[in-house]
Amino acid sequence: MTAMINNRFGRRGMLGLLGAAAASVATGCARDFRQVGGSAVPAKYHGRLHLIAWHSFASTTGEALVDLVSKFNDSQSDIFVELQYQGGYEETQQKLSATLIARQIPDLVVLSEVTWRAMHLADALEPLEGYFDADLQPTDYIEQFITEGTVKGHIWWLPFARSTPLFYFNKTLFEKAGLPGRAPRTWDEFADWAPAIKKQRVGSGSNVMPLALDGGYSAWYFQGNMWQWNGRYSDGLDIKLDEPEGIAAATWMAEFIRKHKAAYLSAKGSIDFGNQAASAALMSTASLAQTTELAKAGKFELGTGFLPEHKAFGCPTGGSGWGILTHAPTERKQAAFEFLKYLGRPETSATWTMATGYLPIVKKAQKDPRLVALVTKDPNFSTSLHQLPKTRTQDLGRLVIPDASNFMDDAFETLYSSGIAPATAMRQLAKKMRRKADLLEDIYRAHYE
Amino acid sequence: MTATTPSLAEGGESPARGAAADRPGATSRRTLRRRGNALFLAFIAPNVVLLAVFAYWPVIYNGYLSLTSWNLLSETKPFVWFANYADMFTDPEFGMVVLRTVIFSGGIVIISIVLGLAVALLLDQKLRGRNLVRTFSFAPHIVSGAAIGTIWLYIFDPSYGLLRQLLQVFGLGSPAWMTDSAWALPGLIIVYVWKTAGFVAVIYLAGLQGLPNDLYEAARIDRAGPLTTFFRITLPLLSPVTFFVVVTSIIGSFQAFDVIAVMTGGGPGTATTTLSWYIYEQAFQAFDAGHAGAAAMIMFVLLVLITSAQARFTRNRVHYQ
Amino acid sequence: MTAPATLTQVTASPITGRGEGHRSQRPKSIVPRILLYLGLIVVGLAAIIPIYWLLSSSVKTSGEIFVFPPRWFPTSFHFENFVEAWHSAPFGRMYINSIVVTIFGTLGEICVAVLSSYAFVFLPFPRKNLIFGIFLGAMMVPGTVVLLPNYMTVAQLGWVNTYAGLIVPGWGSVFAMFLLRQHMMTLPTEITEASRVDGAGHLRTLWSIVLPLSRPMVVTVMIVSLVSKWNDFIWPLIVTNTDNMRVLPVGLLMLKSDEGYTDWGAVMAATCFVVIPVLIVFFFAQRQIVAGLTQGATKG
Repeated sequence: MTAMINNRFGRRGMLGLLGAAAASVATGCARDFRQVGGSAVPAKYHGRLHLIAWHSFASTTGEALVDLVSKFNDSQSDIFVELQYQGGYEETQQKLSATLIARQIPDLVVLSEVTWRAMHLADALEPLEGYFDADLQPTDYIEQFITEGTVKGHIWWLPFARSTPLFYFNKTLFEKAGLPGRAPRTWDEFADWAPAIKKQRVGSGSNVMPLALDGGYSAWYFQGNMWQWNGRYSDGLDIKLDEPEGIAAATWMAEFIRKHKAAYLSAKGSIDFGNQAASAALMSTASLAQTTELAKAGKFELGTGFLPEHKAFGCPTGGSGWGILTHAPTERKQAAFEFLKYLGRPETSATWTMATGYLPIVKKAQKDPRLVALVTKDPNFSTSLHQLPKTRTQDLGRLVIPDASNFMDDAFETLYSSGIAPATAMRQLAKKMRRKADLLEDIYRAHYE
Repeated sequence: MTATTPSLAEGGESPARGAAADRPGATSRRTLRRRGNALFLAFIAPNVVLLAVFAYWPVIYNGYLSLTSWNLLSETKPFVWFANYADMFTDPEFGMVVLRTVIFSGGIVIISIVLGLAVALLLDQKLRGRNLVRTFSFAPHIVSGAAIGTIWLYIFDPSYGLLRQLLQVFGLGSPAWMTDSAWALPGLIIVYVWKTAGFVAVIYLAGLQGLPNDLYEAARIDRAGPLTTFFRITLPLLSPVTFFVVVTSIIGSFQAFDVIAVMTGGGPGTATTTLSWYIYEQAFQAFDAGHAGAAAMIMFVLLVLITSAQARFTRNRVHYQ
Repeated sequence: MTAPATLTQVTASPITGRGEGHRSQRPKSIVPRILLYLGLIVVGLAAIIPIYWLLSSSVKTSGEIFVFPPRWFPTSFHFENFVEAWHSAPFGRMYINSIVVTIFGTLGEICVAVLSSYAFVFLPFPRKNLIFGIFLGAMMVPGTVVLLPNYMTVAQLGWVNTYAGLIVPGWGSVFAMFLLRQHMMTLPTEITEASRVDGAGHLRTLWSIVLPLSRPMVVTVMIVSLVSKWNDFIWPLIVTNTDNMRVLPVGLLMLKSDEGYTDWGAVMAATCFVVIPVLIVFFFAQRQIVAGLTQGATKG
């Protein structure tokens, strides 16, 4: 080695080579997209087209998805779908962005109502309207779900695990406190009930808190409050949350926390609710199965209700759906849609709903006899179904502005956990959203108008 | 260090070719030196390549990214020159991030060093069981950040945590630590001090045990009290150790990430968003490579400045024998 | 860095305290003695209680975890938590990955560090100290900074979700090289010169003379590196896509962040998976670790 370096071509030449190598690595040679790596294919699925699907579902929900996928794999002999778990919705989006940089892509990916829009703006998604056929039509889906995934006549995002917030409460504890065994109809009614709830004590020796507010997705839950006060986050990209109605909504909640001391920011709302440290919590309909288990373990009766109203009713939709990545070869995209067709079958949708608590996505699924039986048996299951027609898609501000869902959550967490004046909090948030919306303007117009 | 005297040919290699040999059959000094230099380069080459690719190149690339407004997804990286820096310097939020980092870092470093030194002095006394306690104090340092975060979340729990029980002994209620904007950062400082102070203590202990006796004999003969002895003799003699621990704790606390990721994720709100977390957030949540890069460059420069200031400050004060 | 310091008596192992001599003495009267012992107990407890708490919580049922006042001693050993945790994620596979990544990562880093430190100490080169200073600058590169560019580099090399991607970026070493250099500088030069005069090349000198003499420090550095790579989780989180390539701390993080997961006993048990191997290594090797680190510190 020393001999080689001593050579007159020597040191400088080596450095030059290294530099060239580094440069080529930096600029990147491969322009094509490859499929991300997968695991070994089980023997019985050999010879099929191998698809990779990235998802965000863990524990029981994840198991339910694994079940669905095995049924799909067993039901035909051309395609093998491999699932890869990537963490929550945000982590999945991070991994997707990172892997796009690396020019490797999965075929299908689970995208939340927020993350799909970023991928759409990045032109990473395949328009799907041309893939529908006799087996599955857009009209088979529940209308507001399919409309939400449609922009300028193209369908980019198909519903899958759709949810809404739900008011979960501890029926046993409510009744013990002398309150009716139902959810409060309005927030003011809940405030009236709060003192009675706070008198109750629980295992840890502390008084029960009426409401646990989860930090995660707090802006999603608050969307309901915005509409209930006749406010809104935005009108398109026009930010409206610092208007008097928005500030009024924020003020009410801040007072509920600080003056009435009836609500608090919780690290994990479901755990506090399960331990009866909190008598009620706003959680996703998707948590129904788990929360039922928690209530059973805690030996109390679980109740669910619509979101409380104020001047009006307001409840957003949420959850996730599937997108197909556009840079994949045609053959794999078509196969991916076959999988989505399978998920769009009424019986599949009903199975998924029953196993998880997510809403059914196709109209016919609601008539599935198993689902009907479950709904009659467990009234909590029907609450979300009955609330569904009253829900709407969230204001665009939270969905489209990059990182909005994160920094909006931050703003509400700060509102719930510090002494900041609600008006100040909303104004600061609105200012930040406007600044980011301005940066987005051009690319937004190009895609939406 | 010692320059090895140019010796005969390295094992098994042919004599230099092409280089001017002053006397036939003997290798020239210059050749030997060049060969020695080349050998040096060969030995450090693996480390150089690895660090160049995985440590230095990222810094340069970050510098470049900080001049763009790339969103990680698009093909093009639009150049915006210093707009990101200007944006951050006028953004009160970024100012808060820096302030928070200074408080966080400063708190950890100062408390760890004071506590660590105190514990070291304690362990220096001939007490029974001190070796065991020394072992215990070092243990937190080697436990995974993810594990530390998980267990301390439980300890901090306002309903079921150990801290609540401890506070109850003093008649105090427990704050909602990790979900209270005012208490989350102090809570994290406590966790990091727990992780760091033991490490500092053990290092100081070794330093203490290496101190020479004669000065102390002299002090005792002069009837110097324990406090005087401490401040006039012990502390100055420990200055190289202090330098080492201050530098490593500053660098460590600036880079603190694992525990924050597990315990608060930068929250509640932005209450625990330190510079390190801000960079991660901008890059991997907001997909704003430009701001992430700019913040990273600022952090890098800050660290270099602090460390060199530290070095310059102690060059006059550090006492070596 | 600055010129090497030479605090006297530091080559003496600090643990055996040969250097302490008359300076630290048995406190004479009884009251200070009691206070000091009290202090010692408080310190020991403060350090070890969280770790004890982890171990004891891992064998409690959920019911025993969510109680107040906290139960200090578990009434029964609910080892099912470990079984539950083991099955909630592919921990078996993740153990293997952690072991592979740690061992090969450490071996690689040590080789690289040994070569570089030998070079800085025994090989002539103009302005070596300046170059060393530049190397040290790499320590100041914030971890979060390198994530994105390194990911891109690794992706270009096709190493995403592979062992190579997990291991190779960690081979570059500054801290290990720093400690080894500090140690090698204390070796008497006569021995190495003698070896060279005998006609041994540098590699041979390194292998048969310097390395054996540096064994304590090499062991220290190996253990420090081992622990650090075992605990590393930010980089593995980014660079792995599938559960079968993930390492233990990542598995723990995913378990904890799981929206539906409320079985804290199992989370604690899973945390034990990550922590116990390191604790075992530590308790056997703490002498080594401390000796090496303190030598590096006190000698500037």
